[in-house]
Amino acid sequence: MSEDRITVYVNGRGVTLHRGMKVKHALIACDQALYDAAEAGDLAVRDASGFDIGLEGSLRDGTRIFTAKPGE
Amino acid sequence: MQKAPLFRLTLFLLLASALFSPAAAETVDLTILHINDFHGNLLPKPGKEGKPATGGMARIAKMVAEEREKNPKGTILLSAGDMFQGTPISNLFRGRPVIETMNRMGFDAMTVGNHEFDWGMEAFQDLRKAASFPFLSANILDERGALLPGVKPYILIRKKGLKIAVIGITTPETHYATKPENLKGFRVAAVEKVLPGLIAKLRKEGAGPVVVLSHLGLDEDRELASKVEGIDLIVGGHSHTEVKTAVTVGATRIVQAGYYGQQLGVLAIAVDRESRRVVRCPEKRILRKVKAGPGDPVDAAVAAVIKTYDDQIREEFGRAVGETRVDLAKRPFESNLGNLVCDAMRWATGADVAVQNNGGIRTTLPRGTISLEQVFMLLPFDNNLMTMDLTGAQLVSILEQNARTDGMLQVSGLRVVYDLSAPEGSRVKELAVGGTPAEPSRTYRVTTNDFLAAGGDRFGVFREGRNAVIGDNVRDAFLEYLKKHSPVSPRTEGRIVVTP
Repeated sequence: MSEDRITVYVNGRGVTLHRGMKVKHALIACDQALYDAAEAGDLAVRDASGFDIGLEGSLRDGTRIFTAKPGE
Repeated sequence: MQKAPLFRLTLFLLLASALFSPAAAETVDLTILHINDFHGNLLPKPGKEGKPATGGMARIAKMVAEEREKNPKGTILLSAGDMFQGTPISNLFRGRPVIETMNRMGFDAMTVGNHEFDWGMEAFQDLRKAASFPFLSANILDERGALLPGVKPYILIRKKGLKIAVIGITTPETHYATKPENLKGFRVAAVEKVLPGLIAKLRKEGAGPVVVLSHLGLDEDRELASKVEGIDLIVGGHSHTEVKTAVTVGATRIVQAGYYGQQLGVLAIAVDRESRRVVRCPEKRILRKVKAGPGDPVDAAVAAVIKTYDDQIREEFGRAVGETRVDLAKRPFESNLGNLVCDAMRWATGADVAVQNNGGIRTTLPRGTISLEQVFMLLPFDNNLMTMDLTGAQLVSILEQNARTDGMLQVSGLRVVYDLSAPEGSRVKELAVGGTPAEPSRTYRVTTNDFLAAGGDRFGVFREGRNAVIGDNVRDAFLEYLKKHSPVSPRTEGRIVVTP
């Protein structure tokens, strides 16, 4: 990781973001349609343990997040 | 031969009596209630498709009261930070309604989250002074190693003969996750440098169990639990994680209650009076969904506080915040409204250039007085300013993408000439920054919003920027600009020239 950027993984795909950015930014960077769907409540976002996380949740270098249908 | 079984039975009874005697195995039942990352969500969130509403502080307060009734002498209420910024009802009154409701609910402590500094140090200190409970952070220090004024590293809460130590910890990412100037003169120290000594001291003084009220994020909490011994429980925040099953790392349990007050964390634990360590902690059913339907009771006193502020919002929204001498319109490529918004953004940060997407500007404004409500309609998204270094070549690349997307960007501080008849990728014919032709290898300071900075609308080049810093909310910056510059009369002035 460079000092001012992080790499996170959305559904396995790596995206580079400015440090301090959040879950919503990772979705936008990966595929804006994922963000739109999550914002509308049509997709849930989960961490590597399967816990639901919010769009304003924090990220750090190497974080892995996943999208899924709510309730799945 | 008959004596051996009798001897074994006697020994067993003696051991069992020692193990299960009240003196040796007395435990104390405690209930830890917690929320985190509330972000000003005082009002319930309406349900979708006929489902009942959820959240809202008046409903949470009622649930807290019900839980307290079950264990009146052994319940504590904690917040793991980021309580204030995020909704009009809280933002317009700089978090005051949240503090008032927390005071009424009898919070025992709150850790300092990164967003507590979003409105600057003065606003933070105003909130701290208005709180009837301590703000905690053991790792925000000035250059001499002193704590933030008025902020405590920990609190000892006496319940049922125990001294429960609650230590506050703030994310070292604070300098990246909020406007850096707001925490000028302070640094956020690494937790492993602060906590071991503090925990050892507290244990030596007879405190326990030890609870770390953390605004680090779940992954960082796991790391903390693996590196630092002596923590019974981490009550976390920052990653907005709904920890439905308690996470166990060594002897430490970690919990977190999602975000926006949609869940109340309820953890009923048993503490050994002798060792002051947690000996029983449930793994499941540790979050209670905050259902706020018509049949769900609320705390009347807290509801009254919220109503008082909610009623004032209507009045606040009608307040004049500026004036325009011309009709403000938006359209592709250059518009006077886009110019005004971008000028405000550039003024707020002092950058060379500002860039905003048309999609973030949601309405037009007629000539005359501008009300607060109109500004909320104009810039409804809670985007933040992001300022970064981009080269002249990267700026050209962004502007080429702008030509592909039918001119969705508005600008300040630059002039670009397009030839739309040229092939894609070579439509920018001239680019000047600050009145001087841009140099491809030169670095310019560029302000945009966090949506574009994340590569939104396919402007991925913004993600390549260096030395990015977050700034104020775009709407707040615009309001401040209007306050200083009204009446305004922006015009289209050839910032974006399209040929043929």
